[in-house]
Amino acid sequence: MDALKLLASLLLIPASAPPPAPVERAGEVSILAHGPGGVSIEGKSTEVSIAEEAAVLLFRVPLAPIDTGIGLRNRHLRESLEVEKFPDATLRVQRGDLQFPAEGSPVERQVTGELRLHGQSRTVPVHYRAERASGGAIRIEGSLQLDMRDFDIAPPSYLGLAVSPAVEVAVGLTVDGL
Amino acid sequence: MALFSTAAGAYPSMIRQGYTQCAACHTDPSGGTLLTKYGRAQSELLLSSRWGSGQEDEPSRAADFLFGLLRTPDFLNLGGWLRYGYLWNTVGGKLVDDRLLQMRADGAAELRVGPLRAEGQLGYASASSAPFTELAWVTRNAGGANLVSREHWVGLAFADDTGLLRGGRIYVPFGLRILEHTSFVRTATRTDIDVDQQDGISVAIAKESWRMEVMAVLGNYSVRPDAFRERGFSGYLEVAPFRTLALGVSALVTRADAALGSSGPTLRQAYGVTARASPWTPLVLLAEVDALITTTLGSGGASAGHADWLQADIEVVRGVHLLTAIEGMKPPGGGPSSVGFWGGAAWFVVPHLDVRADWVRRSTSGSLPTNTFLIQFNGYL
Repeated sequence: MDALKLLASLLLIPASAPPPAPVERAGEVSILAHGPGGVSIEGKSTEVSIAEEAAVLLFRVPLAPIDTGIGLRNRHLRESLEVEKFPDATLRVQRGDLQFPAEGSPVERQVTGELRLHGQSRTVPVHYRAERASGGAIRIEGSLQLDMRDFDIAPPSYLGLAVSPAVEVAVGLTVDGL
Repeated sequence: MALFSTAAGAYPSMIRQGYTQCAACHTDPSGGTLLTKYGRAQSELLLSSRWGSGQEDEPSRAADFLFGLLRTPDFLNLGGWLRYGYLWNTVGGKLVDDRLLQMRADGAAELRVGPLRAEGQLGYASASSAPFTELAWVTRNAGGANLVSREHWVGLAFADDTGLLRGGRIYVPFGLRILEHTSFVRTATRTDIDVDQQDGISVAIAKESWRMEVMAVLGNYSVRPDAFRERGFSGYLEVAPFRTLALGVSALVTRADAALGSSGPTLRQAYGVTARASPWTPLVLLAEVDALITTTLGSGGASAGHADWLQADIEVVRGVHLLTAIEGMKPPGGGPSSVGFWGGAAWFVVPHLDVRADWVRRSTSGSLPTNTFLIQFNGYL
């Protein structure tokens, strides 16, 4: 029986080994929202990860750690995003849609991804720039714009200051294994 | 050095929190006056000592107008100031003056109906402060108590509240809108936030990365006779390339038929550059350099000078600030040059109360150095 299992497993070994899973070395994410009178609200986090699932690259940002610089504003952000119910934002991009840079030849393109936020999924255009360093790691900088209302998020309003529904998101990530 | 009143809550140092703009917290888009409801909340959350409140706690009801005793509708902002201080002046090491100062007792209201904006202040100035409040008098009781109004205007907001067109008595848009209204940069340019407002028409625009205001100065109608009223324009443009850095330029050109110390019509010009920066959150640096030109029209005589200011504000713990500044001035007209050094501390004890202590040492060529010590208590309703 054991011999049969061994034979079966040997037959199932692919011709070439699968590529290693991407591993993020460092990352940062920033969100930028706008209010009246020239007010801008920026939230930052260093928690962003990348994983590969069935030919899809999955970027994940935990929402609770995003820091806007004011504690109460962080709380309002978490409440607005209902992070206890929807702790992460994810972006799925087909690996085949991406162009990976060779060393010394950065790539800058626009692709389409599926953004899941607040329990809602929407297709969004994503602009990215990728550059491979001499050690093989790739530095990725991506950005997208979203409308909170598309994700069933009510634009926050606080003491007469209403935040515009348009939000800019920027992600930077250094990755091995791509 | 007679009056140090920090006449309003102008905090260009809020850039430490990433607030390069003023309009969200103040009813004047260039800052320094009545607080909006959002501004009241930020005053408690960002300026005052927290006294055990959690970082994520909502501001207390007591931060509202009259400690929350009177809830105002959304279209109405109310506020008021009550400020007293005690001052000691020495010259050459000898005490020459010490007294209680009634600095400010003003109330203010702002109305917002659709795009319409209207604001007015009305206050009481005691007899002892008469010489220092005359430029804002409503009544004219020479040597006695008076009613004062530092600002009153009506305006229209436009472009999603990023713009405001208004007319009335307005804070003159020039330079850093700092509390230290006796600083050389504010006195030499006559642009303090105490009594140097002018009647006129202004347009202000506040965007995320820049803001500006330009004002047609039609004269201060608290000043009489008309020959002494200055007319012209004043304005600034400030650009914020980063959330913690703002760089600006200012210009002021006014003409008056008569001026103290002048034999005829006088053209007064000031051109300034400003910088606000917070390289480290607890530290804010404020700098202003102004060129001053005064011309006696008809005689062709023009004279130049300058006024300069460099201030550091360190928030050592929430609500407690150490303040220091150096300043210099050479007045137009060939007067002696002066330098000054400021040191002090301010504590925003609770949202409605701050206390401040200042020491200012000034030296003028050919004169004995002066030292001024001031403590002040400011209540905000």
